[in-house]
Amino acid sequence: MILSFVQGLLKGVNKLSFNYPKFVIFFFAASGILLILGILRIEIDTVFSEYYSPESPVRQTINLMDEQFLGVGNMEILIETETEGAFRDPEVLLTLESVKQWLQTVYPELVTHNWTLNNQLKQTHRKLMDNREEAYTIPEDPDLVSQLLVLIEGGDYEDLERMVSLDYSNARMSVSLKTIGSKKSVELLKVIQPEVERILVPLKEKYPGLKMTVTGGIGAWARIFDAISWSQIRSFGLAFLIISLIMVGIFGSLKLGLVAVVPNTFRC
Amino acid sequence: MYVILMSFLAAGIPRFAFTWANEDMFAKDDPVQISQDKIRELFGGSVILGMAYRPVDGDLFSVRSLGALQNIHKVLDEEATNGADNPDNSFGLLSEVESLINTTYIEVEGDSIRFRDFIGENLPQSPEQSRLLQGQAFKEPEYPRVLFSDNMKYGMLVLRTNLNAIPLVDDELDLLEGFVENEIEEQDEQKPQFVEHGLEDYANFEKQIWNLLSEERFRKDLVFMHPSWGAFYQNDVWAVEYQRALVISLFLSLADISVAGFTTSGDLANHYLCVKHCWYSRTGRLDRMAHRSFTLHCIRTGQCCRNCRRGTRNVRLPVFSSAETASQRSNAFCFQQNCAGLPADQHNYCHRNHVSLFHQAAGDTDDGTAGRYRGDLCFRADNYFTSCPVELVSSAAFHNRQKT
Repeated sequence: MILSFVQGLLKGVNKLSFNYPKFVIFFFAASGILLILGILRIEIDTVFSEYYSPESPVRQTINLMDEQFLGVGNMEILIETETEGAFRDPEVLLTLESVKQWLQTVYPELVTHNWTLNNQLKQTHRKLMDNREEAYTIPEDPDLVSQLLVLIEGGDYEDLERMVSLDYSNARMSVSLKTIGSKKSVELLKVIQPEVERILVPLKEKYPGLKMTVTGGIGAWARIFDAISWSQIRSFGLAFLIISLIMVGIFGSLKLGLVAVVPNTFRC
Repeated sequence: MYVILMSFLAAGIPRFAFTWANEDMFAKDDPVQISQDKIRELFGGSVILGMAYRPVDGDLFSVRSLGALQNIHKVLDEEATNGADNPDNSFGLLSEVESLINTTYIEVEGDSIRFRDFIGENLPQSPEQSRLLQGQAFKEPEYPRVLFSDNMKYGMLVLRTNLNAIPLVDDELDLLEGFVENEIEEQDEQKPQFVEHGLEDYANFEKQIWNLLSEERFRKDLVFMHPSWGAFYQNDVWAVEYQRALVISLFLSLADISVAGFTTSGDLANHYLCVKHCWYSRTGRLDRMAHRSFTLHCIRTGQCCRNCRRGTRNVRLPVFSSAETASQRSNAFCFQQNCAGLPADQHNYCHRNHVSLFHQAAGDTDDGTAGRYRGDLCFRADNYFTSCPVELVSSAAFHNRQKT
């Protein structure tokens, strides 16, 4: 039954092609132009959470995390100075604050929290200042910063060492984000990397070895996006080559085989 | 050939694995991987599992909820200790648990400052104490949205792991020596090496945690949400579904090809008869395109041959129905010119350019030309192909006509 149906279908197509060749050619040419226009608008945006159905427990937790907690996205900014004690310098710490503020100003809908050693520093400072809200800041006095860090080292070293290296030459900024897709990740990476570098420029005189890298989830997503794009190009190319070879083999003619490849590219 | 190819591909299905782990996706020299390694090297493991929970009594700061949370801490600490020396126990990957119970709280009394656990062993003894704790928690900038939700309905249990951050001990480095040729040697000798973990390790860890926290002894007080990353969900659900889909698609593909093969070969056998050397020797051979890839100097049923060179004319074969085809196929394909019905002035031309096609089967009378093509569909063109109509007849009918 299926066989006769398919046979009938093929015969119908066959008949159509022979009886109305101009129409078929025109139709496919028009479709081809539309497809080419569509190709220019193709975007690859992989959103991890959307792999799950809305009813899935994983998706529900992701939504809960985004709405009620800090989200499931993550970005890491690694800052290396090659100078021991650099992250005891209030100027460096205040620059970190500038980066944080810039991120929260530019992406208020995405950035939910920002973790650096400054968080502990500011909280300790505040507590020492009678828990006054306005004291939740980085002191500008290097001695006071050093004293605060000594206190933190003695009391909550575990949290501190997650944010700054033992010799205070390297630190990280961990940014919590709401769920974002690969497309947004690439956009963020393109904007954040140069902008953070620009904010850090004034420190370069004092710390010539200063460098920063944006990585973490966002970096991985951007890299995956790149990998997916290239993988698709390679797959398409390979499929095109194999189809071409098959066509040439079937028709026993290079010329006719290549001609036959043209309509097959529509399927790709 | 197709079946062999598909079988070869299908043999790889059991090895199909699903991964989201950076280490599995990126090469060691990938910039993303390098910076991740650097962070791990400097600051320790960065893989964290956040388990959101909902207190059954609706109060995150009640004695019941905090008591249950405290109990979970103890159980997890015990499990982590037990799993530390057992590579098969994923709890060994747990490095730290953090929640309202043990998150750092800075307390200043006079001139002294103290960093202590927020709850620790001191559970609230009354609803008033619970509200006091709630008020304190709200004032801490690092607590809201981190350890409890905006709407105060959910809490968070943060599980830090040492995935990919367990340093290789000397013995393990010695074992690697020689196997990982030059790879380690080329790297900075001071650079620490870590035990490599894949998604499976994380998935197993997540699964063990989820199973433990779903136990009734905890569930009666705190209901934990499914892990948001769902690594084991991917491994257990996606990977299985992908494998199923792959197997089904292979079968469908096989069926599709089979159907297409039948229809196409049938179709080609009926409609695409190709002529080889029709213009040169005036004796040629017809074959089905599905079987041989002759150059396309073809006679297509219902169509004209446009590629027969050297003065050959178009030959029109009648389109025949599948019912006829089936019977004719069993008797082989034969056709001959039928000049009946043509205008009289074309008769001579038609006969002069006699074309006959027959299947040379055992017992058939050899006409002197077809013998060379025994077993094939052959035709003989005394002169050129013409536009004379050609009738498709069975081999037997053709030879009967010849006899008469």
